[in-house]
Amino acid sequence: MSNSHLFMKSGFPRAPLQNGLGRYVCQLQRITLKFCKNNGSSRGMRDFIENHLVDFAKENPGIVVYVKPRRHRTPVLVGEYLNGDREWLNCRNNTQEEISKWIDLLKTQNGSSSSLRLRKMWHTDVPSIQGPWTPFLLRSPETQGQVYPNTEASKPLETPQSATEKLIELFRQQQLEAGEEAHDLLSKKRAE
Amino acid sequence: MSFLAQTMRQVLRQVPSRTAALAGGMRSLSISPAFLQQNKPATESVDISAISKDQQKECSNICERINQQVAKSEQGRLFAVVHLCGKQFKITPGDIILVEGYWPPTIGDEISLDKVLLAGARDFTLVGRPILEPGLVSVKATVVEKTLTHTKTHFRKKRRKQYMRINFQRSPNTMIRINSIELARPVDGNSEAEVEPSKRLF
Amino acid sequence: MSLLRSATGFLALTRSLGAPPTVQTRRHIKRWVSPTLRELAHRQKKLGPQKPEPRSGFVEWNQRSELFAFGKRLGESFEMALLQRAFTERSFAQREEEKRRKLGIEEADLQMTDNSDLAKKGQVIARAYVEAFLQHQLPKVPKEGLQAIASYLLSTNTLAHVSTHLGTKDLIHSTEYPPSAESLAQSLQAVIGALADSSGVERAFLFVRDFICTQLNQKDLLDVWTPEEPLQLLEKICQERKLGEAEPRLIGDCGKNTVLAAYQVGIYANRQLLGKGFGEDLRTATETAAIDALQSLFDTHDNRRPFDFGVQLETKNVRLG
Repeated sequence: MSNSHLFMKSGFPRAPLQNGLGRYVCQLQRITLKFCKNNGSSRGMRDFIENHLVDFAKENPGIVVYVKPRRHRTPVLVGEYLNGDREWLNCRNNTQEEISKWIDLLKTQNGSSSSLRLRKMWHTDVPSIQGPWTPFLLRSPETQGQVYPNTEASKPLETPQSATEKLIELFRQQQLEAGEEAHDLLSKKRAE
Repeated sequence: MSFLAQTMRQVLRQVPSRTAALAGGMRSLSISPAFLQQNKPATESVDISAISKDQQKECSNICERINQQVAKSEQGRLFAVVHLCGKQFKITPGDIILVEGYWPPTIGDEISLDKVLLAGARDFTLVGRPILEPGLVSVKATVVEKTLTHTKTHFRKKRRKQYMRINFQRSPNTMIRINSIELARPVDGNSEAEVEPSKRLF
Repeated sequence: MSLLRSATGFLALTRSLGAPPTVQTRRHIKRWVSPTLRELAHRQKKLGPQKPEPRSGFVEWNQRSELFAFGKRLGESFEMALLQRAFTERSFAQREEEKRRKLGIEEADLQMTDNSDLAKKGQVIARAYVEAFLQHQLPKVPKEGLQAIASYLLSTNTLAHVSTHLGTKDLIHSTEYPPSAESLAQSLQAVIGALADSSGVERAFLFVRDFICTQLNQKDLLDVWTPEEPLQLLEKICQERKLGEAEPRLIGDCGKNTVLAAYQVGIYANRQLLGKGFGEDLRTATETAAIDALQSLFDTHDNRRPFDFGVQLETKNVRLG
């Protein structure tokens, strides 16, 4: 099993040179197509060069396209980016459709993406607009002049009723309900 | 701030036509095409008479203050919570967000994000139920990058069963730069400037 | 016997001709490959880190199409000769002239133009536009603040950073590779000058806005410019604007006489709260409060209105020279 991504370089999303503000600049600056003129593994690449390469170059005048034939070697795509990255892609036995897809990927990305694991899907330099919370926020002015230790302030906000207190309360209620008679009865019994 | 939000909600409650606009907002959320969705009459669930006069006055007062601030363009930096491709992002102008998975817009496209759940500035917050009415806040963005993630390994194994599979996958990612967030019209406009609910489903 | 041998050889040949020619047999990697590569790697390691090769020295390099693509990528139209001149350093031009002189070429053909005059022009344009942009976007900031921000934007480091990300690194004709920060910055200024010459000064202004001014996006302006002695500056400004005397007051404190003491100080003028700040002692708290007050007076807080990079400044508002 491959765990290579666990130790891969990780980072956060960034766009080079504040791209997208002002005007958008395509980040791929040049692409090199290396292929063999007679090896079968370069067949898709040769087809692509014959059929689509001129259209691609016309559509993207900002990308310099180099074509480099070399004997008996694997076909390769190399993209070079404005931020200095270089992406190398092996296209052995790829069809021309696959190659045009890979070239499209090289065109739309900002640098070599395969070597970076993203940790966040969001980037901002202004995380809070209404201000972060502090314990001093919206504090009542009375707490300002208080001197500690303070018995009033150090009381617990809510004390649960103890069993004795509950009994006393029940007893009081009975007394109220029964009125004076019960009270007399009780005192008589005690006297006995 | 929560108090303000509450009052805003009350303002929304007191305008009967508002519910219709919100129903329109809900429609734009769903996937089915517009002709399939019937124009259902909005249910009158809110009784205006239940809201006291003082509260109504207070609400309109707050709206007026917000509008004044926006008119003088003293509101400062705005932020918004937008719903995009099944996820919610808190954004402010100049931010970068990433959309995971297949998404048609390509590099250099300028798009506007329509499903705004919340918008706010230093002194006020507008809370949608669930989204702010379309056309109130305009969020402009540019697609900056479309790429694939790093190669993820999907490995499965069952012990003592001679079963082992390993798959590698890379999924598409789209990076978006937020260009601007603006309040397009006054807050308590009674939805006079009723804009066609947007057809886009970003 | 020899006849028989030749006959069998001929037969073998015909058999191989008759076999389908498209089938490729996969051969194994030869046994000498791995030790050779290992030896090569070993030698490279022994040599130590090498300087990067200039990209323009590669076989796949066409200076003309690179220059063409440079303009198209940025959405601008340059005159090729001007752009080529913008990327020629003075030192490089001098060295080339020396070389040619040694070869015995006539003096009339020797003259090689360099980018120093274009860079000067571009510098003036960039400074004028950046100042006008800042004036427009930060109307309340005093002059020294604007100057500090402008000099940050036009510093060699920032310009070199912009320049590398526009892909000038490989295009510059310089005596050294990779080119120094100064030559990167100078070539960017020269590109601005060349743009002004080839498609008008308005395009050059937009270029400056889109590539240099955008460096301020979400930038904390306090990092760029922090007033020294903020309390005195605040007092001065309060006097100028007749806000009353600035008066720091303790709003809250916590953990006095401990290591983690925190004080909150607010600055009031004429019973109005101007700003507040925290600090581990009263002096720093007062200072941060004064900075906060200055930020709200100058409107340079983080939550200020974000810079508008789509703004169209009128050309007459930009003072050149």
